[in-house]
Parts: sequence; structure tokens; C-alpha cells
Amino acid sequence: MLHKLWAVAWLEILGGMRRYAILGLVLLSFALEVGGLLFMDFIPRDIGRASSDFILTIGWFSGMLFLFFHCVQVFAWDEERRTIHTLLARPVRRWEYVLGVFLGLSTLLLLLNIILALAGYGVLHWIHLKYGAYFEVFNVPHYTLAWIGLYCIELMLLAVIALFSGLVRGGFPVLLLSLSYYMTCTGLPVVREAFKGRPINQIFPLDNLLTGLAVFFPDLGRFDFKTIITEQQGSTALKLALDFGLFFCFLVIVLGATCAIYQKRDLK
Amino acid sequence: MQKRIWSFVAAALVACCGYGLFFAAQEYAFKGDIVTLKPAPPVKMLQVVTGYGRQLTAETLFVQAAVFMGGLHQDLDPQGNARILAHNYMTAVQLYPQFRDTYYHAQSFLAGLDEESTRKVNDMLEIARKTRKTDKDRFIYPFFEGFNCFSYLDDSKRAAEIFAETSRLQDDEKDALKFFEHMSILLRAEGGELAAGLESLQFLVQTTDDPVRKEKYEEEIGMFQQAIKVQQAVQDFFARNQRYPTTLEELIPDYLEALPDFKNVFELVWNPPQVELHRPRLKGFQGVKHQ
Repeated sequence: MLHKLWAVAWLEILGGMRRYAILGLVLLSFALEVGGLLFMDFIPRDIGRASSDFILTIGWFSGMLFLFFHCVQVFAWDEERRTIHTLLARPVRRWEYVLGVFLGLSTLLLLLNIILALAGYGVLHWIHLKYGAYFEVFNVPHYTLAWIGLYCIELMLLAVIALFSGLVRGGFPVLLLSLSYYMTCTGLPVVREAFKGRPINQIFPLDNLLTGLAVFFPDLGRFDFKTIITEQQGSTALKLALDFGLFFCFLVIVLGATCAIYQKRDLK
Repeated sequence: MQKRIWSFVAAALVACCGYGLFFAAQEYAFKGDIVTLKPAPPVKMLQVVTGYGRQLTAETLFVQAAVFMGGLHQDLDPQGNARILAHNYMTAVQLYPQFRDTYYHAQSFLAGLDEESTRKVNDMLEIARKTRKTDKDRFIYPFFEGFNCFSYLDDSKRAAEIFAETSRLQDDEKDALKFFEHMSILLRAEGGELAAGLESLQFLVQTTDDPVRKEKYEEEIGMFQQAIKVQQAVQDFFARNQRYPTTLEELIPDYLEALPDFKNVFELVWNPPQVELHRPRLKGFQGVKHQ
């Protein structure tokens, strides 16, 4: 079973590596991260914080481009170009296909994040050495945690893209749905904060409704660990355990639903 | 075929020359225009749209404001863009309260400009006080806020409250907490709370190990006691005459032998019905005009 999963994943990895657009994205992101050396020139005091925010945000931006412009298309192409039928004609079950594609794309994402994380580390380390007075704390474990958090956000979005690809045909509708989902996840915490403790909650349980919505649109900001890179103290072990526990359960549920949808779906 | 290629090349050359001419004319025509700072979009909208990139958005807003400040014309009214600058700084602070530079810039460029700008800076510093409790600069924010209150806004009472709140924090920097408590006492004395100030000073003396500071506090205790005697003399004057004295000199010689001389440490100020102890202000410092 794992052999088949990895075989499908390897196909996606090779396909991704062959695409010049992805190589271009990696090179562009790499160049932008090195450009962080120039960005920090504009910051008089909090250089460490601004530089680490810049590095991680470039990583996030690259990840989003990869997700919304490559991953969405991968699921759509397999159907449009009928390659899905070729794959499923071999003894590859539909759920193996789904998980295999997910594994392949998440491996590509991991490679992208590792390259950018290493480049970012080099940039931040150089700034930390040169401007120690303004960049006193560079917490490497927290830096690693920040990239892990970003990767978790990307994996959750990738799972959602896979789910929407199973529900809807065509790359563009999946792109729109995925973007809308992401914007809802980003905006819902802001709306919840805005309506917390308001008098309207006494007439209509808006607070509870918004909390219920957050079950389906999780707060991705909980995986944003950028701010602790320049701090000695980070998040507590309990909070981290809860965050990553939610992440794993989310992946299992969404991928499980996706597999179930592909199992029942008419692929013609 | 060749004729077509040459026609195409000629057309491209004409288009490029035309573009260059228009560009030069545009640069000349708009040279004298004053660049104004654009207001940032609403913070809630930015929080939703930027998501993971909200910190970089806040830093970009800061950089935009900082670069703009460097490019101001010499004859430009410094208060002309104060409102937009304050709005942009506040947006950056609300997006990313952990970023310290915004607070320092706001304090440098906006505090003391006018009452509205100073109050906006204090609103930002209030956010810093609430969110930056473990920051290494955590005592700078309440200091700035209190300083703005008593220096620019003439609100010693609010300044005293801020310093008193800060002195009650659970923190390892005991010297800093004592500093704020002392500042709170001095500002309460400006508001006429002499007895409370005296009691707090006596407590400070008992809890301080530094002999230099102890000596200073004891000197101030003596001055507070003298000021309280003046306050008592005022009460006696009122009890006998059913009115407050016009000036403190009226108390001499029936109620006081002489008014105390605090040298340059304090000024005795009569603000009926209370006697206040003020710290001498810098010459020429006038705070901000109140609106």
C-alpha cells in the first residue's frame, strides 16, 4: 500500500520538478529572502523582528503561490488530461491516488520550505552577528517552530484544495473556493473579536454561532509563530500540543472526506 | 518585406522617442508637487486581507511613514500630516503591537506637536503597556506615556496614575519599580496630595538599601513636612477668616514665620484650596496648546 502511495507521490514530485514555473518560484523566493538584508536597512531598532517577519512572510507567500497556482492545477489536470484514468487503471485505488498526490505535493512544499528556511537562517544569522545590539535574541528552535507552523498552515490548505477538487470540476472554481476558504479562516477571528461581548449576543447567540463556524474554518493564525523568533520564551507546551493535535485531526478528517468523495465520484 | 521591417523599426523609434518626451515633460511639470502621505486602510480590513503577512504589512506601513518623514520639504507645516501619520502609526500598532519602532517613532515625531497628536501617541503607548509586559523596553512605554501627560498635556493626575500602576507590577527590576513609585509621589504632590506622598516616601525610605537614594528621599520628606505645615497654616487662616489667602505671603507672620525655601528641588504653588509642590519646569517649555 505504501509502495503505491509513494509511487503516485513520486510521479507528482517529478512532474513538479520538471515545471520551470516552480523552479522560478524557488529562485525568486530565494532572491527575495536574501533581499531581506536590504529591507532591514529601513528599520532603526527592531531589526531582528522585522527581518524574521520578512523571511517567514516570503516563505508564506511562496507557499501560497505554490498551493493556489500549482496544487489546484495538478488535481484539475489529472482529470482534464485523463491521466487519472491511466493511474487508476493500474491497481491503484482511488484513495491511494488521493493520498499519493497529497503526499507528493506536500513533499514538494516541504522541499520549498526547507530551501527557504535554510536561506532565511543564513540571512538572519548574518544580521544577528552584525547588528547584535538590535538583534539580541535569535532563537533557532523557535525559528524552526515558526517554519513548522507555516508548513502546517500550508498542509491544511492543501488538504482543503484536495477536498474541493473532489467536489468541483475545473481548476478555476477550485481556486476560487480555496481562496474564499482561506480568507474566511483569516477573517473569522477578526469578526469574533469584533462581536465578543456585544449587546447583540443577548438577543441572538452570535458569539456561539461564530465559535461553531470556527470548527469548520479553523484559526490559522494559531500556527503563526513568527513573533517568538526574537524572544526567549515561546508558547507553552500545552498550547502547542492542542494546536498540533487539532492540525492532525483536521488533516485526517479532510483527507478522509476527500477519499470518500473520490471513491463515490463519477470521473468521466 | 524589408520595407515592412524598416517601417516597424521606425514606428518603434517614434513611439520610444514620444514616450521619452512625455516622460521628461511629466517629470518637469510635477516637480514642484508636494508629496503627501496616504492614509492606511482600516485596520480590520488589513487584518483580514493580510492574514499571515500582517506583521510585514505593519512594518511596511512604518517604513513608508519613516521614509516620508525623511523626505519632508523644509517649508512644509509639520502639523500638516500629523493626523495621517498618527492614523498610520496606530494602524501599524494595532496590526503588530510587538513591533517597537512604531512607538519610538510616534513618540519622537508626534508627541508634543499638539494635544490631539499627543493623545493619539498615548493611546498607542497604552496598547504597548498592555501587550509588551515582558519586553526589555517595557518600562519605556509607561514612562513616555506619563511624560506626555505631565509635560505636554498638563495632566499630572493621570501621569501619577500611570506611574503608580507601573510601580505595582510584578517584576524583577525592583529599581525600576521604585523609580516609578517615586515619580508617582512627586506628581501626586503636584496635585496637592502631600500627606499621601509623605507616607509613600517614608515607606520608600524603609525599603531602599541604596544610601544615596535614602538620603535624597529623607531630604524630600523634610520638604513635604514643611509643605504640609504651610497647608495647615492655610486651613488655620480659613478657619479664622472664612476665606482663603490671596497669596501664601498673607500667612506671614501670624501663621508662618517664613515660607519654606526648597532651593531648586520644588516650587511651592498656591492653587486654592490646596498647596502643591511642583518640580521646576525647563525655561521656555510651554507644553502644547489645548484644544
